[in-house]
Amino acid sequence: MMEGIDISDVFDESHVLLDLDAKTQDDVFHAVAEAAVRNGIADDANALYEGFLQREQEVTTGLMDGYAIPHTKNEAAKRAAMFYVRVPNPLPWETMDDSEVTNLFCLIAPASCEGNPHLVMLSALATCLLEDDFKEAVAKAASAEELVSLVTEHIEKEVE
Amino acid sequence: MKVVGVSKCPAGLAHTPMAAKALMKAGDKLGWDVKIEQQGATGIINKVTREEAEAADFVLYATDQMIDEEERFEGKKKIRVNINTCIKAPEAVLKKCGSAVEAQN
Repeated sequence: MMEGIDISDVFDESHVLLDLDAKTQDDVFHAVAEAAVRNGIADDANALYEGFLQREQEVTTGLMDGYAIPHTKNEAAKRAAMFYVRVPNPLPWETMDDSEVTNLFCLIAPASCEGNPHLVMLSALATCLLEDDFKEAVAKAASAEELVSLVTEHIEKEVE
Repeated sequence: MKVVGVSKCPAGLAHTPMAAKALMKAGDKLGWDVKIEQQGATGIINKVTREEAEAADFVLYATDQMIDEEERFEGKKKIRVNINTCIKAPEAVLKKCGSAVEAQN
């Protein structure tokens, strides 16, 4: 475990949106942007939304096995954070295996982040998504509590 | 095979570390010596030195972007591959590049 790094700084139960009623990418980006503002991570939901959208338009963040990892480096973000979103109805998304998306990790980073230790955790989460057992466990997790402990455990292993 | 490379994506948050790790894991699996530098949001991680580049069979650019400090790789055989392809099929990328380089030698 890296010194001075606490995953609860970037991810806790209030960052888990299970059963989000979303029909499109847009719905997810709006919901996450609003949750981030509610949690004091950013001061402008619209700027975050635009950031997610813009990054997505550059190149898709769709991965494999029903996962996507939208992200934005954003002037409106006061600190780094991540959100987990699960949607009951799979979303149309450009992915590497042409699967629809049901599980999303949405990453938010402040615009100037050189040397920001919290970004190490966001990167570690991204590399966790290369592991099939992690993806399976996350997709099956039944509660926000379970998700937080799963994610924490895997990120800690990753940054060791 | 000995491979060095650089991964880089638009925001440098997610795909940069994913591609680097995927390629290095695939390298382990193939028994190759693979080192991929990340040019991401927090700066350069796992930097490839000029000496390491000199010793490599080829240099892999897992990006469609400009590489920082590219002069290290001057005179080396370089192959550019889409970063998403490196995440999706890292082993196939390495093998294909390896065969292409062998065929030219």
